Amino acid sequence: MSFSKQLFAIVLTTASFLSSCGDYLDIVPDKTQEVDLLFERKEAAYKALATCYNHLPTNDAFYGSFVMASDELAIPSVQQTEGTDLMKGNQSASDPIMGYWSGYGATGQGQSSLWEGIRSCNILIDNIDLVKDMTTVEKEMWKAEAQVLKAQFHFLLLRNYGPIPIVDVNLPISASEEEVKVLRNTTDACFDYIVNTLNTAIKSLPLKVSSSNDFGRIDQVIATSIKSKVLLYAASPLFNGNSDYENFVDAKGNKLFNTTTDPKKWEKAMDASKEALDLAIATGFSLYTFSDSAPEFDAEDMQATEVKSLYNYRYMIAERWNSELIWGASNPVNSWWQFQASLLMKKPGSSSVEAAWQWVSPTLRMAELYYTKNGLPISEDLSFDYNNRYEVTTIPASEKFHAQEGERTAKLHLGREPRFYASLGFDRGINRTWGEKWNLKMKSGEIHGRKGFSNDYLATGYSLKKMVHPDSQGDAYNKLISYAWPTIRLGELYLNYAEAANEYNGPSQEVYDALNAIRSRSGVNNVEDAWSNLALTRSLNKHLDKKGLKEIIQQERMIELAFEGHRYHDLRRWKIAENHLNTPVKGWRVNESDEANYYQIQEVGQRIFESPRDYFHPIKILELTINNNLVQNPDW
Amino acid sequence: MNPILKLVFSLVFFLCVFEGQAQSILITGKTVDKEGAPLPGVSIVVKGSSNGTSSSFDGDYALTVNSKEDILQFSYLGFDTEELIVSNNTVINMVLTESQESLEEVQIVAFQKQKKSSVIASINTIKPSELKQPSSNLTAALAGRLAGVISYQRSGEPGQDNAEFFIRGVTSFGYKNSPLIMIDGLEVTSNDLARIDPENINSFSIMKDATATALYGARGANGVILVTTKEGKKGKPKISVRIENSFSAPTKINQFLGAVDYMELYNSALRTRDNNALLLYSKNKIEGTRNGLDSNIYPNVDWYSEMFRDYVMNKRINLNVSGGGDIAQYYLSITQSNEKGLLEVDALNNFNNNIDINRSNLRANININLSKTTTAKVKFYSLYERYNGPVDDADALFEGVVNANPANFPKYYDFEDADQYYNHTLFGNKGNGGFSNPYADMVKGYKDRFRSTILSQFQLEQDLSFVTEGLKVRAMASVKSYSSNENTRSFTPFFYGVYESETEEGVSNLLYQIQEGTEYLNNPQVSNEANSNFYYEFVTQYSRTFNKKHDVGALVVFNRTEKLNTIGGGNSAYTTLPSRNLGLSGRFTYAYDDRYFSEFNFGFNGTEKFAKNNRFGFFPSAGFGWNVSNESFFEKIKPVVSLLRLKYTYGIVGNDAISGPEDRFFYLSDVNISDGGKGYTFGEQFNNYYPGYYIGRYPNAEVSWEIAKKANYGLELGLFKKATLQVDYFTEERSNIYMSRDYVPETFGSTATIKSNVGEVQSHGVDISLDSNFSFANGFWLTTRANFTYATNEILKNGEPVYPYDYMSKKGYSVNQEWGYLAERLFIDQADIDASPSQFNQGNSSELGYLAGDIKYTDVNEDGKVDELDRVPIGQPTIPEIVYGFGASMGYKNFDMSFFFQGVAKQSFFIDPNKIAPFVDQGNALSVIANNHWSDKNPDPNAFWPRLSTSPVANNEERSTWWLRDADFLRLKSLEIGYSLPENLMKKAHLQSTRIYLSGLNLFALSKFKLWDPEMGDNGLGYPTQRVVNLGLQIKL
Repeated sequence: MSFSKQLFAIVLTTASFLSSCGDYLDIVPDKTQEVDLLFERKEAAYKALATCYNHLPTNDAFYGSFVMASDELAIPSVQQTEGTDLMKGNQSASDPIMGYWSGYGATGQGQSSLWEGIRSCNILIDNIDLVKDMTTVEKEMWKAEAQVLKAQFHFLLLRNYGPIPIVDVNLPISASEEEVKVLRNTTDACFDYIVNTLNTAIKSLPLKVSSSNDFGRIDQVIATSIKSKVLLYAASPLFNGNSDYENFVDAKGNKLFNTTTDPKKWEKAMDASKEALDLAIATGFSLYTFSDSAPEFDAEDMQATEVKSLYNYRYMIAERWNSELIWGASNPVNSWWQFQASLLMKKPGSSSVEAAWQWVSPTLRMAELYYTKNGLPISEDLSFDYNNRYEVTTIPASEKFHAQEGERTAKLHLGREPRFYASLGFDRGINRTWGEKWNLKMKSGEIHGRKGFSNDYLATGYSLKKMVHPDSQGDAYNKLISYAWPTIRLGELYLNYAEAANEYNGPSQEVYDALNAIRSRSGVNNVEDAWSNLALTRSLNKHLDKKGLKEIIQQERMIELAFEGHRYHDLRRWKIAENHLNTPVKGWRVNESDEANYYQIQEVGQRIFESPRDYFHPIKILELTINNNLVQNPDW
Repeated sequence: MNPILKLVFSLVFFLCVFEGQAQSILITGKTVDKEGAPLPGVSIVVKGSSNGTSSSFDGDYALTVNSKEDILQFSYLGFDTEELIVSNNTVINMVLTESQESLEEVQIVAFQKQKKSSVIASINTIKPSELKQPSSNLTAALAGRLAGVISYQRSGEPGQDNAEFFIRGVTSFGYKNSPLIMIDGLEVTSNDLARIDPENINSFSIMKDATATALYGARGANGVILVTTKEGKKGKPKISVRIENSFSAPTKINQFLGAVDYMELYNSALRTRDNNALLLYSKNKIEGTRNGLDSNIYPNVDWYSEMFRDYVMNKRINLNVSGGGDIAQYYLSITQSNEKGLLEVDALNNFNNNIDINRSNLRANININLSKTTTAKVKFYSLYERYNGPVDDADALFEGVVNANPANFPKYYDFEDADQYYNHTLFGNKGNGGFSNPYADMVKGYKDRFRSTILSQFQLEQDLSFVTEGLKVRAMASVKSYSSNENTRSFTPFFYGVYESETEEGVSNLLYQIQEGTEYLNNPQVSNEANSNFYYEFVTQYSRTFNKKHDVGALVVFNRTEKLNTIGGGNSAYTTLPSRNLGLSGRFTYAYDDRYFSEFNFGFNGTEKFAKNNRFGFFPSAGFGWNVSNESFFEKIKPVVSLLRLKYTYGIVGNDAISGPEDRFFYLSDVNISDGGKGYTFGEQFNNYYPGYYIGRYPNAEVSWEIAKKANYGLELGLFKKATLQVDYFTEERSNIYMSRDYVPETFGSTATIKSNVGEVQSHGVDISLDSNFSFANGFWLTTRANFTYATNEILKNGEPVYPYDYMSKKGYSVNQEWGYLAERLFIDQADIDASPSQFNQGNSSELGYLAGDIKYTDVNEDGKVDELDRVPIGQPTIPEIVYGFGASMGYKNFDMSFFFQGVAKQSFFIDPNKIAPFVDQGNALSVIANNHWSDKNPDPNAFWPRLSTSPVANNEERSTWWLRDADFLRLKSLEIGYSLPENLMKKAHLQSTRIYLSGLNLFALSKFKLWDPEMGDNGLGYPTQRVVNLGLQIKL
């Protein structure tokens, strides 16, 4: 029958037509974006490097910053930041707040999962050798930077979650379900991994970044400083012999915490701090002192140590790349200005206060933390009227550098150390801001006080000066002056050393010297002088005793590093977080306009810290579901 | 002329000669079709005799019969033959109904027509007239009309009211579930389908099983809708005009609180969570409002009625002409429609922010016989749409009503002297501004848009019988282009507030400006879009009967499709590159003696989306049919069971639309190699910036299409030649569904979800349709139609992780199943809370926590806390599993009437508590919440709304059974009453027929859910479903 032949012929003709059209479906042009292109040339490889750095959490990303996650700062109840939410006890395992593990959103800038950061570091390490126009030394250097960042990401995860899985190499995309289900490593193994990674990387890093174009990139000083911090955490009670986690085991029943305290860990921490401190000093770092000429309104007063100290302490933050800044965040993120804007006071009479929100304020607790002018805690200084500190008194002439002579303010605000005055603005105090010198009047209805029912107000009656550049002007965002947020500064290394050395060896001159270096920069007397003066101190010679000195060091650290993003982590590290983070924060009654009512204490916000649960963040339930080899942190 | 017809005519003529010899009774009457149009040439004979006649051009006839017992037999080609006893009648008017069988003698199938009786595939066809309803949207008419279609319509917004429709339900959780739509052989969008005028449709069918769709290869898995448009028929021009005018109004309007009730309840909402809260609304304000004082200061705004009209009037007109001669035949149609929205326009604006859509639609189908064996066909179609409407879409404006409360401020201030100073509207607001004024949002500007769709098609058919009998070829080329240009113009509204100030004369209220606006329209936002479709096909077709018993058929199709996204398709390489498809398909049929049928189909198909080695796929299918009623043993029961057919098909079809246009070329990665958001800055002055990179997708060369294995078991049953029952049972296994592998944890560190073809869904269901036709002696006729579609599915495999509890797994549940918490009741008191498991870790924070009167959930896993591990499958799927419809048409003399009920069942939806939460941000409050909420006075643990609050209560907003509602409904979808003017009147006016009709749409609905129209589901605050009353006139010349 001819039919089938004909049909066959037709099909054949059509099919041959079809096959000639095979290219018809090839429509993607050759030059498309592929990852390989990143590792062709050095200029392109910078993108791979930048991506690694990009995952670093930023303290100045205000809404998602851990700086807001403590009892240092308070905000009006209608305002909201991730950090404050965390402090209010809203943490949940379903949708964790400020979770580095899964990443989190926040206004302005969110935080990606740090695991993504680790993956991007490994991508660089695995591929940088392919780049044609880079020397071997350069390649090793970049790899080392990625190694340090990888170690840092592991450390940040470890700090918030305790034992974590170690991801040293990337799993392939095709990895099987079993392969991707990693287990948590023990805390000791995590610390060892981080320290070993840092040690390996340090060898290939430049001693100190010299080109001003590269400020912000990692060098030996930074890596060594990170190591000092990592080992300090490893030695601290949260990780060193923490018996709360006796029964904390992974999916296979292995213990995740070493519950035996090991004093040697303090020795390692001490040695690492010493190494970092020595290296920093050898490479030219020094505690910052202000050497520029002061603005006109202070030119005369600069003779006074009190005023000089104010400038030392404020510009230590605000001056870009000053001599103390070991690791500055060279990447003021899109929203870096939010932090300054939220703190910056509104200028009365200014046509625009766009960039001066004035709704983040230090708590009363912070106002009480700073020393007296004698370098002692307010409860220890016999010359300070501690019991009547909320009483109002007339400001004497002797306080003229810090408060308005003849006006009235709380006794708490008088006779304090320079760091108090450099950091906090208060009713009838003085604020150097907007490039001017302001006499603060903070009661309701007064020029700096709350206006009507405005939601922009300082809930405690204090304004924070420390993290605002004195010349930042709030009438436009581009008139705020950026600085590199101090991720690590020399002051911290002194404090690391003092703490580790005291823990390991007990009180010694080296410990006092380290503390005194910091104190003297801010015009505070020496530890020994302050605590051995019978006429001044209640607890005489507290500094001679290891436990006493420990408390002194802790307070020194909380003062010196206040508002820089350390407190939340330090309090957890010392295992004393529930003492601080579990009580409401307080302030003056800012809605009152008369003195008698204004100078009363009121609560301005809850702080909730459930111990031991809140010492570590919860892992998102979804993540635990996806990887049932992971176990949730205790009590979550 | 048809030889049979010729024979009949001559026979009739012959018989007429003997008329004189007949005696006794003279019967006169008229033969008409259902629409009242006269039927000329109907044969009327006395059964069993040679006595007969045929009707005249006007359908009139006269016949003399001998006895009252004589039976008159009316027959007409294409219509059912009717018989009736003369009895005492002398006037017998007969309405003939088109016979189903002859109408569907040929069936449109993929790429060709097949003899209806030989089709094994599962195909459903609907008469175009059934799709006519007073709406400019064809998709709105699909629900319940076609067995096998699951359909629902969520919004009534003109231009945005496309119904969702799925053939045999949703059978995949992949990207695309909607069917392939082909109009005259060209793939079009659901928007194109929505705009087609039913008047122009020649046939409308849905292809359901593998045999019907396998020829479409990788595009057919979701079923296919095939539409062909009318072509011209030889004859003198037939002109038809249809004019419709309809009133459209919401089926239901949401009720909100008045200002006094609002303020009182707001204050109590404040106090119910915080005893010390400052009250927002003062006694003075409340009393002032109660006493109806100055409405600028004491407003009482019903935002809904301020913003929207009660009804709107729409118009549609269609004119079509068809006819032709031996060489050329034509069909021309023009449709013009005007559709408006319910939005009010501000008196001070000279522009129109209401929806106003004008559409003109031209269709010209011309066939030219180039030679005896060659035909050329040209089809031209254009749709021009001018849209005018609000800046935001109207759905959002309706939802906006919930954002503003009645007491805060009027829509605008209306001070007597104000106009003298301002030439802008003084829109209301208060405080520092920042409150929503939905009226201002609505009137602050307008959007105009021009859209055009143009389609040109050329087709050449060659009969190759001279080569071998039964061989034909045809070639077709089509281009469709679409463009849209949209300008949005708006001004910034001026917002004002009032404040009280004490003067010497007493308290006066002063207007103050909150926001400086613009007194002019800001520069327009322009948005353009353009795309085009190219399609070519070459078809070879063969069919022949050998030895009268062996029917053999073959079809081979080659086709090529290309879609271009010229403008507006995004700016990535993936969205702007064309999409292409290449196919070779075939069909081979063999039938023996009209009793046994077999069919084999295949599609060999390639698309551009996949890696080279995965680009082409082969999709075979086969089917068998047995026409039992044609067996000799069946003869005896044929008077009762006039038809019995059994069918079985099985095959594989693909779906290459597994991901959106931005996600194609799976063998490549999707990398942004210069991502500003992933960069970092170094340097002293923070200026040494490097962008980063971002991997949006990892390459996977293995990705390919979804595969659907479809089986169909069909039964066709004809009873007494009056009723036909079609039942199809189907199963489908959809595998290779492209989806994310959710078992990859965060620790893996990937920036993109890793996806591959891992999903599997199994579905099954049944489609039933039952049709019947009756005519009675007195001229009464009745046809009925009922459809029922049930489609359900369960997920067999997906990329999900191993859940700690079985109930968390999606496996075994429908693709559209929702998970949520089991809400037990509202908490009774604090002791109840203390004794219950903690919920979402919120218990310890009074600011965001929950109190008595908030929802208590079940701790399903009994671990002492309620969290996401306690989410269980709740309710029915969110897409109905059952869609059904039934209705009837009937007529008597000049009157006709039809109705159609439509319903859905086995469907759930969730009220979105976040959307309707009263008082949040001083938003509006639905009356139903005011009437039924938990309070200290009414501590009803089952109240509709939990304890009031002026800020969101996260605890109550979780998806749970508390907000779960049964979405089943049954509605009178349409009702139509028509009257055809008497023919003698028509004759005078030289018209063929004129019919006036009154029709209604969505007249009433029965549902357990009373808050809003149940069909809107979770879109209850959006543009409401419309009830339409329509007056129409159809004239045929």
